[in-house]
Amino acid sequence: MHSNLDQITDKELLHRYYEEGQTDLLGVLLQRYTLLLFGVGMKYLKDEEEAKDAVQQVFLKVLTELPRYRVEYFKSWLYTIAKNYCLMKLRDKGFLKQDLNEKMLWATDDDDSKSWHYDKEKMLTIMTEAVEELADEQKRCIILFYLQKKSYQEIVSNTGFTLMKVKSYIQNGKRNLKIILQRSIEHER
Amino acid sequence: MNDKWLDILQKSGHISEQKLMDYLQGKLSPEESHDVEKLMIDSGFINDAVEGLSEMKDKQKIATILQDLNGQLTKKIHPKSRKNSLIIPDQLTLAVATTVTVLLLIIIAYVIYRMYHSS
Repeated sequence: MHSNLDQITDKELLHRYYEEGQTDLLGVLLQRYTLLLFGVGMKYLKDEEEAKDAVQQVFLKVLTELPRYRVEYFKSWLYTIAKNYCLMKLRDKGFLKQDLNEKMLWATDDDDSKSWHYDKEKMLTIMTEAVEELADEQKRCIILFYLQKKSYQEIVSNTGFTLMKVKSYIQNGKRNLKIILQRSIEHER
Repeated sequence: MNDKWLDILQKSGHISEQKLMDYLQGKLSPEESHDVEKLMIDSGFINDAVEGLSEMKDKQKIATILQDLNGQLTKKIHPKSRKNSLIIPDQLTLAVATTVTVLLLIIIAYVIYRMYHSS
């Protein structure tokens, strides 16, 4: 019935669903994320049965809500639904000490939706300068990860930092780099 | 200057189930692991999922759970067709039922005819 659906992007699949209205297409789309959804459930709920239940609830919500709204970024939308469901569950159980705020509930899948359009050479110069502004640990991990293409485990062995620290240094280092880059570009204009 | 710096600004793509499972089971080379970890850095969804799945002690069980969840999804999508398949007989069943009914009617008619004539 649907040939080569594996080859088409989420966006195209979603577009076809909105055009043709066939729920089968939603099934294909959702099955691409079953494993990720179960993983998110496991991360927050720490229980197999509850994580499975979370996936079922997310499926149900998507099947009910997607026909009503025009969703542009399916992956981000799905992640938001899954994370919110888990956080609500934790809150209901009293495991979440702080109140759910808008920032927590609006989970963005992509850490930066911004596109960088700038001269390549210029960007490289700014980037090299920006790296020097990072804290030593972040700089070290960023260089090992992005420049030397090392895995987390290799960086752990190389630096002696814990896995959690390595991940945090790379994530925060990347975020800081982008802030510095943005500042430099605005300053040049 | 090194072009690799610009990788920081590149957006990463999707990850296949197989790749993710191989990563969780430690089957990937350091280079391949790096590629998965780059996706994790760029996507909160993938990062959360990997952290959650890493907590499963029996990684083999994940495949069974996945199959089960996808099966449930199919049932949610096709509830009517399943119900219909139980109610509406297929053509072969219909043909057999019709033949049996016709044969029964012939037998009953014959028995009535014999009873009528014998009396």
